[in-house]
Amino acid sequence: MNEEKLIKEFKKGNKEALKFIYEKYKRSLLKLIWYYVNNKEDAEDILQTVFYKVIKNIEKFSLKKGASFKTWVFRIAINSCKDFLKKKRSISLNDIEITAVSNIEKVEDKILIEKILNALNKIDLKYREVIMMIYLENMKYEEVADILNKPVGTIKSRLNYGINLLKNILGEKNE
Amino acid sequence: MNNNEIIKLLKNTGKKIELEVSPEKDKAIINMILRNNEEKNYLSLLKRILNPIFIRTSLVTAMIIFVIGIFFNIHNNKINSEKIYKSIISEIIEANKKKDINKALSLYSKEFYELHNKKLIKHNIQKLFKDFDKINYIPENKKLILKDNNMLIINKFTYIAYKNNKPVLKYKGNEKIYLKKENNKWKIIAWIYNK
Repeated sequence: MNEEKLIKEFKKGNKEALKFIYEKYKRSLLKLIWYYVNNKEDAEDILQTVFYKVIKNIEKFSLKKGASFKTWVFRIAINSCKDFLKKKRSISLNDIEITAVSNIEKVEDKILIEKILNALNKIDLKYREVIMMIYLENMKYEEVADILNKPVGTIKSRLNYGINLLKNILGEKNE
Repeated sequence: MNNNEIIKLLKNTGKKIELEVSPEKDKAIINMILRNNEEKNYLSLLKRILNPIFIRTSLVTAMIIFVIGIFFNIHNNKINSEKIYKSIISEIIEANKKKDINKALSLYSKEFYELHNKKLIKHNIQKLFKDFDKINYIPENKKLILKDNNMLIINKFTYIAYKNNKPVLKYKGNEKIYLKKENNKWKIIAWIYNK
């Protein structure tokens, strides 16, 4: 069953339809949320909030006008992360704990990933989120522009600026 | 390190990071999805029953009996749900006020503890009671839905925690409390809120 049909089914009250959608997006959403909040437990709580909001607002989502469900859900997730970060200003911006990540076996890989994530964490959110979506999550410029509600040009310039910031931070560490 | 090397490193990092939703949270989210849908179905059924077009097509006698029956049922349901609501809310307020850990833990159902670690819940409540001198939970009811042995409370709430007589933590938001009758007592099976 395609996504359009699933959403229609869910709107009609089919119990399994949203469960199916949840199974499809849960991993990528959890990962994206985790990049924002740096903590797996918080990320899982936000994931639950995201689906609570999806259930509550699904009637407002229209498949007409070429709207993408994925973009809509990801936008909800990102706004939820930003709300969370606003409320939790005291969030630690020091070292990221990556023990929650299960499939990193090699110590060198772990160190490198920690290094890059910690450097990312030092960059302003508006540059960081674009880098996270484009390079870490392999999303298209248009998708990111749609999710963040910004022109594609802005996304590209934020990406370039962000990479330069990252280069400076990683360069400093290497010196 | 140049830009291309950084981009390559970022792409590799993205590929290597894989996160799984923990089984407990996964189950809780799926339950929330299914439960919310049941509530949606129940409301749409109620809407359909009370739709004037539906009523007009019925026979006059059947319609009168039906309408009386519905109103009687709704009236009864309203009295019952308000009674349950008052009872459970006063228990929550009392547990917070007296900092009664056993009372606070007894509010939750077996089903709830199947999904959440009881020791961890106990630890968290104990910490909360220890950290603050006074905790005020002020709910404002918006909707009650009672169906057989299940009930849903939709509230607006304010949560204020005091230390040295000063409010140090204040949350406002909406909450949904799902209750189930367990051994003739109403217990919480899920409590979802957004601040």
